[in-house]
Amino acid sequence: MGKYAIKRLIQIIPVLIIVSIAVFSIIHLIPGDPAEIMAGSNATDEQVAALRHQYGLDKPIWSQYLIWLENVATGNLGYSLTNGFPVNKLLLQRIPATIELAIAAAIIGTLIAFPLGIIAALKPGSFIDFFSTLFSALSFAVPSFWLAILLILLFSLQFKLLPPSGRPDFSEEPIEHLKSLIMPALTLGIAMAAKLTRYLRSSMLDVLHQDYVRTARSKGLSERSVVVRHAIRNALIPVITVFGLQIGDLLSGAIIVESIFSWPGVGRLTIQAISWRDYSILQASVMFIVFAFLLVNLLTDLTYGLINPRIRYE
Amino acid sequence: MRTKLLFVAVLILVFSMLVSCGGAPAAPEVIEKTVVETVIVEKEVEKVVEKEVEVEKVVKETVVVEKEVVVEKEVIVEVTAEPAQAESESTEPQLGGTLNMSLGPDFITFHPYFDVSTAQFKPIFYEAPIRIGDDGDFEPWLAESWEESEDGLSITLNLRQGIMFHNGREMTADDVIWSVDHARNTEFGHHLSDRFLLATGAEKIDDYTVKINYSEVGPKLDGIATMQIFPQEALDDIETAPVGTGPFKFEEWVPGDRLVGVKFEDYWQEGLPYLDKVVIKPIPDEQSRMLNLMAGSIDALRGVPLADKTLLEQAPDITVTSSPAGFFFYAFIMNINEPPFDNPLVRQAMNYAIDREKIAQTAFHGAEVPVVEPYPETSWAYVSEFADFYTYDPEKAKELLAEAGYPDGFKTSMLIRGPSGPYLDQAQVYQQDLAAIGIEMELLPTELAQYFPALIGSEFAIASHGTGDATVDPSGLFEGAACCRPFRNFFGITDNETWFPEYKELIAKGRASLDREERKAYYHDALEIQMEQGWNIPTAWRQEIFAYSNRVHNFRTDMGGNIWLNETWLSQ
Amino acid sequence: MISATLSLNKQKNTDLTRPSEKYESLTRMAIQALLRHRSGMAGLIIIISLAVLALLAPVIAPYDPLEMRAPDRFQPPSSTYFFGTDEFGRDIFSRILYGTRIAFSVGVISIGIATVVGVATGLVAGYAGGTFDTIIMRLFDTLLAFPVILLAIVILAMLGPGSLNAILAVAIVNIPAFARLTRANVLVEKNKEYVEATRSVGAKPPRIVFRTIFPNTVSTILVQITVALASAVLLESALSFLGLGTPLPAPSWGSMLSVGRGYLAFAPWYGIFPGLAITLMVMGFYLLGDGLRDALDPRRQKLI
Repeated sequence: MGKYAIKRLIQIIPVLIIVSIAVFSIIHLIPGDPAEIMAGSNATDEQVAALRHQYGLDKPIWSQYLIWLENVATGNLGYSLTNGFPVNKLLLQRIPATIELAIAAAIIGTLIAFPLGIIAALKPGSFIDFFSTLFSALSFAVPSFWLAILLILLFSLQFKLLPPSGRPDFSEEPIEHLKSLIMPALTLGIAMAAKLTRYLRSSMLDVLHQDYVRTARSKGLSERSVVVRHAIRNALIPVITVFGLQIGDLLSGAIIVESIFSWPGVGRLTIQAISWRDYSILQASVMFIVFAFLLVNLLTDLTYGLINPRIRYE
Repeated sequence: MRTKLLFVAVLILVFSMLVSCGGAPAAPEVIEKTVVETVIVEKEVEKVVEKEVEVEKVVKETVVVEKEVVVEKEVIVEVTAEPAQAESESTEPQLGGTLNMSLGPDFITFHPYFDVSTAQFKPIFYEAPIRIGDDGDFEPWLAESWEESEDGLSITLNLRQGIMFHNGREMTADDVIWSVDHARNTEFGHHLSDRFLLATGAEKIDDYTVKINYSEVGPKLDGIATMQIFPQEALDDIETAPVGTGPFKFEEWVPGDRLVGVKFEDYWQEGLPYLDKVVIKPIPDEQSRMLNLMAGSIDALRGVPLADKTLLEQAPDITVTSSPAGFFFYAFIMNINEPPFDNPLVRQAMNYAIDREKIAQTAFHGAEVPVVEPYPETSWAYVSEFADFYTYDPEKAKELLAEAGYPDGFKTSMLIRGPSGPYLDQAQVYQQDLAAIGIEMELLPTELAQYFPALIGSEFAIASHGTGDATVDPSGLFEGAACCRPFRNFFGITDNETWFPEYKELIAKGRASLDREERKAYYHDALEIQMEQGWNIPTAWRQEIFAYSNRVHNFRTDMGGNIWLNETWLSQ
Repeated sequence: MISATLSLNKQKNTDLTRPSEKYESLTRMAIQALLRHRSGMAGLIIIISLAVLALLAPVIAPYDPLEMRAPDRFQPPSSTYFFGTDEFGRDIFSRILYGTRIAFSVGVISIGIATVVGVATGLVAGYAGGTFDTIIMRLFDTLLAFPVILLAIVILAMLGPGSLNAILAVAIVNIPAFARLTRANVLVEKNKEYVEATRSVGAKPPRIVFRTIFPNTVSTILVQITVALASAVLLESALSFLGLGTPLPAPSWGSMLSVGRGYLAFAPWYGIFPGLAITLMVMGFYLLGDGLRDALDPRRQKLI
C-alpha cells in the first residue's frame, strides 16, 4: 500500500512536467502583454521595451521556460512580474485560505448530503425523497455566483449579519474570521451537496437491494445496524470517487466564489494574474490547482482501497 | 461690502499660508478661531465667485501680472472649502485609532513613479517637493518655495530642513538630485520619465537647495509635483515596500489581504499624523466595498458605484465626496486611418450623433458631468465659446453622413476598454445613438491586457476610451492624447493630414512659451483644430468618488484622486 | 427541448438505418419509462416550455429587449414591467425572454460540436487503439486535470471574448468527457459477438465503427448530452458573468446578472430574475438527464 502510494506519487511528476510545459506555452500564447498593461496608453515604445526587458520577456520562450524550470528545481517559483513580490511567499499566503475554504465547504456539503441522501434512499418515494431530488436538482442548477449574490443580499444587506467580503486575520479577530467564512463556504458547500446527495441516494438504493443486505436483515439484525454497518459502509465506496471529483470541482468553483467574496485565495489570485498577464504568478497558481487536483485524485484512490480492501494495488 | 470681503479673504489667505508654509500644522485652537470666521463667509460665497469673474475680465483687458489672478482664485477656493471643514472640525482632532479603508483592487506596485490604477495611496507614504492644492494650483510641500529662472530653463527648489525618511535618514538635496535622475531614467519603464523628458539633471546649490535644469522651455511643475522623493537605498524593494517621507511608515503588505502603515513618529509636520495606523484592504468589487462601508468593516473607500452615489449621499452617517472634474474624461475616439473615419465629415457626424446628456443620465446615473470641450472651467485654457461646439443633433449628423457619402449609414465595431464597467456602459448608449442615424455598431469589450496592444497598434476603428493627462498645465491634454511627446499615436494621425503640421506647431509653441496669455492663444487655436477634426470626443468627466463614515474627519483627496491622511482623525 | 427532440430523432434515424425490432421496442420502452419518470417528466416539461418561450419571444415580449427608455430606469417589477427595468430602462422580462434563445443556442451548438468531435474521436480511438489512442487519451487526460472554468477562461483569453468564442470554449472543455465515454463503450462493444460477426462478413472498419458499434452507444451518449447541456448553460453564464461570454447589450443571462450584481442595494430584481432563469433551464436539463439515465438503463427501470 505504502509502496503503491509512493509509486503513484512518482507518476505524478512526469504529468506535472508535461502540464507545466502546456501551461507555460498556453499562458504565453494568450494575447496581451504585461508590459503593455503596466505602461498603459500614455507610454512610449521605450518604456514598454524597458519593462519587457525587466520582465525577461525579450528572451525566447524556451529559454524563459528553462529559466523557470531551473528556478523551480531550487524551490524558487520566481517573482511577480509587476512588483517583484516573491511568488513562493504569495502562494504560501494564499494556499491556506483556499484550503480552509475547501475544507469548510466539504464539511458543509457532507453535512447536508449524508442525512439527505441516506434517508431519501431508505424511504424512496417519501416526501424526504422528493425533497432530496428537488434539492439536488436545484442546488446543481443554481449558479454559484448567483447564490453568492443572493446570500449577500440576504445576510449582509437585509439582516446585516455577515460581512459581505474579506477574510480578517484569525489570530486577531477569530469571530469575524469565522463569520466571513460562512457565506463563501456555504456557496461552495451547497453546490457540492447537490451531486453528493444524488450519488449517495442511488448508491444506497443499489446496496439496499444487494443480497448481503437481505441476508443481514434475515439474520434478524436491527434495521439500524443493517443500515449503519452494512449498507452505508458499502454505499460509501462509489461515493468516495464522487467526493474526490467534487473536491476538484470545489477548487474550480473557488475561482469564481473567491472573486465575489474577495477571499484571498489561489482562485482569486489566478483570475487577477490572468487579467494582469502576470506570467510567473499565473504559472505557479495554475500549477498549484492542477497539482491539488491530481493529489486529491490520488488520495481518493488510496482511500478507496482503505475502505474496500478487496481492491488490490498492482 | 467689498472691504469687508477683502478683509476676510486676506485673513483666510494669511491663515492658509500659515498652514502651508509655516511648517507646523495649525494647532487645534487656531482652527477653532477660523471656524468663527468662515461661518460669516459662508453666506457670501456666491458673490465672491462673481468677483472672480470680474477679476478675470480685468486680466484679459490689461494683462495684469499672473500672480494676482492666482491669489484671487485661492481665496475663492478657500472660502468654498472652509464651510465643509467647519462642520467636521467642530470638535478637536482626536489622537489615535486605526483607519480601515479600501481603494479597490489590490496594489500592483508601490513604486511611486508608476501611475497605475491603485496609485492613490501615494501621499500616505510618499511626498513630493510641491503638491497640487485644493484650488488646482501648486503649493509648497517638501520644498518651502521654488523659483523658475528667467529663461525658463531651470527651477530652484528650497527644501525644508529636518525632513526625515522612514528609514531614519534626513532628506537632503542629494536625494532630490538622485530622484530627478531616477525620474529621467527611461530604463525602468516608469511613467514619470515622460514628464522629465526635457530635464537634463539637477545640481546641488547647498544641502537644502537644488536646481533642476532643462534643455527646453516647458511645463515643469506637474512633473515635480509627482516626483515623490524616496531614499536611493530603498530602491531595490520599493515595489513591495514603500519608503518615503510621508506621515505613515510602511509596516506590512500581505497581497490580496492588507497593506498596513503605522504613524511615522519623525514626520516633519509637528504633531501629525493624528492616526496611529492605516489599514488598506483590497476589495475589487464595488458593491461589496460599499456594503463593507455600510457594515462598518471599513471607514472609507474609493470608487462608489455610480448608481449608488445618491443613495449613499442620503445615508446619515456617510459622507460622499468626489475629486474635482477636469483631470480625466471618458472619450469616444476614432482611428482616422480607418475608413470611413478618415473623412472629417463622418467624424463630425459622430460628434453630433452622441447624446452626452443621456450618457451622463443612464450610463453614469447622473453622477458624472457631460463635457464637450476637454478643459474644465477652472483651467486657464478653457474657452467658453467652445463649450457647446457640438450639441446633440441627430439630424445634422445624418446630413453630414449623407454629405460624406454614407446616406444609409455603415457597419463598424467599437473596441471597449475592459470587459465590463463604465466604458461598456456608455458604449451601449453610443450603440443606440448611432443606430438612430443608420450606423450598425458591434461592441467588442476587451480586457486590458488585449485592449492596450490593440489600441496602441491602432487595430481599431473606434474605441470607448478614457483620456486626459492628469496635469494642471493644459499642455498635458494635447501631448497625452494626440501628439507631440513621443507617445505612440494611436489615432492614426500623420503629417499627411493637411491640418496636422499646424496643430503640432501650435502645441510646440504653447509649450515653449512662458507667457500665459500667449500660451492661451496657441492652445485656443489648437483646440479649435482638434474639435473641428473631431477624432477625440469627450463625453463626460471622470471623477474619483470617495465615501467615508462620519467618524472620519479631514479626509483629503486631491485633483488626481490621491488620498492625504496627514490631518485625518477619527472620533472615537 | 430542441436538443432533446433532435437527439431522440437522431436515435430514430439510426434505428431506421439498422432496423431491428428488438431495438425499436427498447426505445419505446425507454420513452415509456421516461414518461413514467416523475422528475424526468418535470424536466422535459420545463425544457419544452422554455423552448416555446424562446420561439415565441417576439410575440410574447412586451418590449424590444434592446430599447432604452431613460425615464424608466430601475423601475421595480410592476404590471408594466413584469420583472422591472435595468439601468437603461430596458425591460428585464423581455430581455430574459430573448436570453432564452441565447442560452439554448449556446448550449445546443456547443454541445453539438462537443458531441460530434468527442464521439468521433472516442469511436476511432477506441476501435483503432495503439499509439493514436494513447496520444489522444493522454491529451484529454491533461485537459481533464484543469478545472473546467479555468480551462474555459484560458481558452477565452486566447481566443478573445465573444459569443462564438464562448461557444467554442464550452465545446472544447466538453469534448474529453464525450470521447472518454464513447471510447469506454467501444472497448466493451468491440469484442461482442455481433461486431465479430459483421467483421467476419468483411465489413470495413469505418462501417463497423459507425454503423455497427455507434448505435449501441447512443443511449449513454444521449444521457451525457443532456447532462452536458445543463453544465454548458451554467458555464456560459459563468463566463458571461466574468465578462468573457456573450457581450452586452445582447440579453445573455450571465451578463445581465453580472451587471445586476452592481445594483444589488436598490434594484435587487435586476440580479434576481436572470439567475432564476438560469436555474430553471439548468434544472430542466438536469432532471431530464436524470430521467433519461434511469429510463435507458434497464436495471434502473425497475427502480422507478
